[in-house]
Amino acid sequence: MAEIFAMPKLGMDMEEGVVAQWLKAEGDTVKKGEPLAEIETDKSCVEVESPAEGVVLKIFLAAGETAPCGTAIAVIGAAGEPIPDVTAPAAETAAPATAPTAAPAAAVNSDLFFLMPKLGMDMDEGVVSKWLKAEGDTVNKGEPIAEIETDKSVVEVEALQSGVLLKIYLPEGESAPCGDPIAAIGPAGTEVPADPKAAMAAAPAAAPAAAPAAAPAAAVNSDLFFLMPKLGMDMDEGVVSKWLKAEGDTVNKGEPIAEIETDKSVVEVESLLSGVILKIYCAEGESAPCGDPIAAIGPAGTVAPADPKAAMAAPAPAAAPAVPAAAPAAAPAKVAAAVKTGVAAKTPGGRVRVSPRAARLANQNGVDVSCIIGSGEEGRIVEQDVANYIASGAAATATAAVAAPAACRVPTETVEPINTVRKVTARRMVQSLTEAAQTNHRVDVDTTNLMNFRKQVNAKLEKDGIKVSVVDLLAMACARALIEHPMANCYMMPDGLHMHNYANIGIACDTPKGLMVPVIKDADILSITEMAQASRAVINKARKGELKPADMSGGTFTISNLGMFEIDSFTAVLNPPETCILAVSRTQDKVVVENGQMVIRPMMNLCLTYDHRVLDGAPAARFLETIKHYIENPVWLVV
Amino acid sequence: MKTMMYRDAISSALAEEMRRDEKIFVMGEDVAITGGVYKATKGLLDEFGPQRVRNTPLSEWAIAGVACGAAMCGARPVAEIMHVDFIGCCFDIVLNQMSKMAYKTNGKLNVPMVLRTQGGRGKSNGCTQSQSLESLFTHIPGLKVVMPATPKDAKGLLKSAIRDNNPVIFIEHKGLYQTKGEVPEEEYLIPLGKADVKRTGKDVTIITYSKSVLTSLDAAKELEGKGIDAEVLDLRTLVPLDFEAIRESVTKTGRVVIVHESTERTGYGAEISAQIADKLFDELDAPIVRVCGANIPVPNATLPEIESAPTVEKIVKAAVRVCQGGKWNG
Repeated sequence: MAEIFAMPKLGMDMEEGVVAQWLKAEGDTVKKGEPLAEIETDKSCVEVESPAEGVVLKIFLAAGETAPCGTAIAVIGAAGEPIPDVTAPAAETAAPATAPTAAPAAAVNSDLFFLMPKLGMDMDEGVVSKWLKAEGDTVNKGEPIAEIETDKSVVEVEALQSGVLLKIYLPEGESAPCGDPIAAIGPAGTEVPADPKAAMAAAPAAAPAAAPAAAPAAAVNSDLFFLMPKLGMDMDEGVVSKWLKAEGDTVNKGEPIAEIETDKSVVEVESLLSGVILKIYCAEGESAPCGDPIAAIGPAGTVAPADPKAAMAAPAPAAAPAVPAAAPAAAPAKVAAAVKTGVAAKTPGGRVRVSPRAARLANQNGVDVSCIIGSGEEGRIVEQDVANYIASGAAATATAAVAAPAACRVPTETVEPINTVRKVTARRMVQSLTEAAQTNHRVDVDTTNLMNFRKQVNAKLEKDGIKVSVVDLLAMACARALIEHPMANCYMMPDGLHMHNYANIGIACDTPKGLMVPVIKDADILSITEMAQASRAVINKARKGELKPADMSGGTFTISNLGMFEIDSFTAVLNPPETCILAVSRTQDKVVVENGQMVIRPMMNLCLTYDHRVLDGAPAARFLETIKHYIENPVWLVV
Repeated sequence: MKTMMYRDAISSALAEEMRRDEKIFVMGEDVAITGGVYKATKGLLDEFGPQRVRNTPLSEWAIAGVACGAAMCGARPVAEIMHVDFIGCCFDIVLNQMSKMAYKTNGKLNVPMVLRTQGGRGKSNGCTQSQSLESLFTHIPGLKVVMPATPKDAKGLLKSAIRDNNPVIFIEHKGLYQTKGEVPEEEYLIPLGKADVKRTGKDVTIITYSKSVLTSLDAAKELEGKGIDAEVLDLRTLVPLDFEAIRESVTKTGRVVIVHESTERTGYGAEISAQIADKLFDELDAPIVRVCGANIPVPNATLPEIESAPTVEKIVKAAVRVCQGGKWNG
């Protein structure tokens, strides 16, 4: 039976492909799984394997030609087998992307409607790429009903209800926000609303409207509630990762009651109340905003309200003015959990704004008040703040801090203005990393000759007061290599590759203002003395912050030298629009093998970052080899 | 107990003491037949006769001077200065004579006299008949200063003042004379230098005296609705000051509002505040806040007259301010 080889769909957004090369010719024998062709998409070139074993009976699509995915492009079968009709698209393609079988559960809040599922945290809308059922079809819960396309993948989703597919609201190819009704499923004959969103909006409104009117929340002593604690300054909500007590359990004040998870950590929190756990409002794994009631604790037999927030919101003090003692007593419990920690407010003199009374309580308990956000006037820490802080258990840290003062350090965060150099560097580095295809080659070079050469040259030039640095020689080596490898010396611009017949070498300098890259112009034709003088001039200007824009423009290549640091190897980020940058690390004596002997050589690590958009691996390697050659044979720099 | 007006409590104290000790006599402008402008000596003339209930000319110098001299000679005069604002007319007697005599004579000549007077706003009497000048007296060593707020306190304190062998300035409030209160039927004394908690509370101590006690009690009632439990401490006697009562209350609450009708600037509240800051610094959970008379002459017109004094609204605001944070937060 002949097998059709169709243009595979190699990616979600691949619609067509080009046969870059056939790896088998007509009449060749091919094994299943053996590479058959190279298919080029707009992203890559991929070797595609044969779907069957046999002889390549016919190739329909010549190399270099394009076909839509799914189109038959070859037939494999037994020798002599008739070639099947391939005018119809192949039923099955070799597309590797198959939909995940398990459809993620989607929340449905209406029995009738099938909603656009939220298949990922960042999915906001989805496209129905295909309905697997038609209107009028019977569908069972769990049965695939549609293929939904997100910006990441295509997923087959299952019906969450059984019934007849009464209505499809969203045609294939159209998108809808997650949670929007896209179909109606129900008993045959059910009437479906024309505007499902309006119907859904109307449905829930009917129920709650009646409830509050019928049963206004009774005022409840808020002492009853255990609230989601605020465990950090920037904590807005928490997740109950585990209840350490169950409903009906007795709990004492100070006893661990739950594990609360913030976005930073999981913290065991203690009950601020004693009593029986009457009701747990926030199930394990669920989250609640800080300060919201998550459990009710009180004397056994107390009826916990079903809607604790409404109960808390009910104006308890106003309702019971006849019992003045009750009102103030109710208030503290609410705040007790809302302990704020962070950086305490300071007086203009820099002292923590803390009342003497609060300071005394803190002192008695070994609490560092600088960790407490005061709730008093002008952020003053009052006694209650310290009491809450101690009750919250946050003081445990502070108590420990008595023994180890370092532990009580207040984490502070100050905002410093960003200077211009930093801003420019930031923008250019991000631009560089987003726009270029950066990758690296590394090599260790032997600097024995370079060091000797430099010593000789400097001895000769000493009388003229000229000193040649290693970087000067590296710049010369690179400049010459660049002329020999013009692709490494070009800019990739929208209008084409800008080739240069000169090499301007930028030297990355660490200046008091930040990173500056002065440029040595025409480095490829400078003599050693000229190079030494030119680089000295611009580097000095850079260090003094006197560089003019002209001193920093026109570079075609950059050297970033960290040789003065104990850095063995590093990668540099391209300085756009340059194609290459060389990262130079320290020179270290290393054991190398030379003619079968272990010898000690001063080795320097070079790491070339290049833009793969412009330069492929091999030419980049050749370019780096040339640099290495110049460094190891510096005599060529003057020839 | 019986209900009695403040002014009747005064006259009943005078009568009881005059019955007890015949050395006691009353003198002042119109105190005899009319029973004083506020009727606080009403009925005394009938019972004790013109020898012991004497009208004087319109001369504060004479009233204070004669009383001081009589006291030095063994009598126990209760002299009345109709308005405390008139004290300037006899200030040398107050400042240099009655207050210093025992010191100057090494205790050989005591001055067991009471100088009764009244002050305060409330009758649109204008800026020279509505002042609260107690801090003039509390500033003078050698004087005791008493400012009762209720009929019961007025009676018990006046009797103690009369029995005291030192000169006592007894300042009543023109707005209090017609207020009523429970007064024990049996004889009683209230010692000088003993404050009284007029309302117990645990959140803030309102320290006050004289008519401001009533305003503060009204404020405390309003604060209840805000979940603030205010304690109202009536000093009753400014000199000697019952600092132990202040200590006890402030130690409990940690928050202080001081209320008095006299001018805020260098008023007696400044003294209380300074002593608390000095002796109870570590007990404080908030700044000490004063609610006092404005630093202006007392306005004549009714509304500004009221507005320039401590009001319920101002006291509530001050209490809320010192109670900011802690359990009242959110």
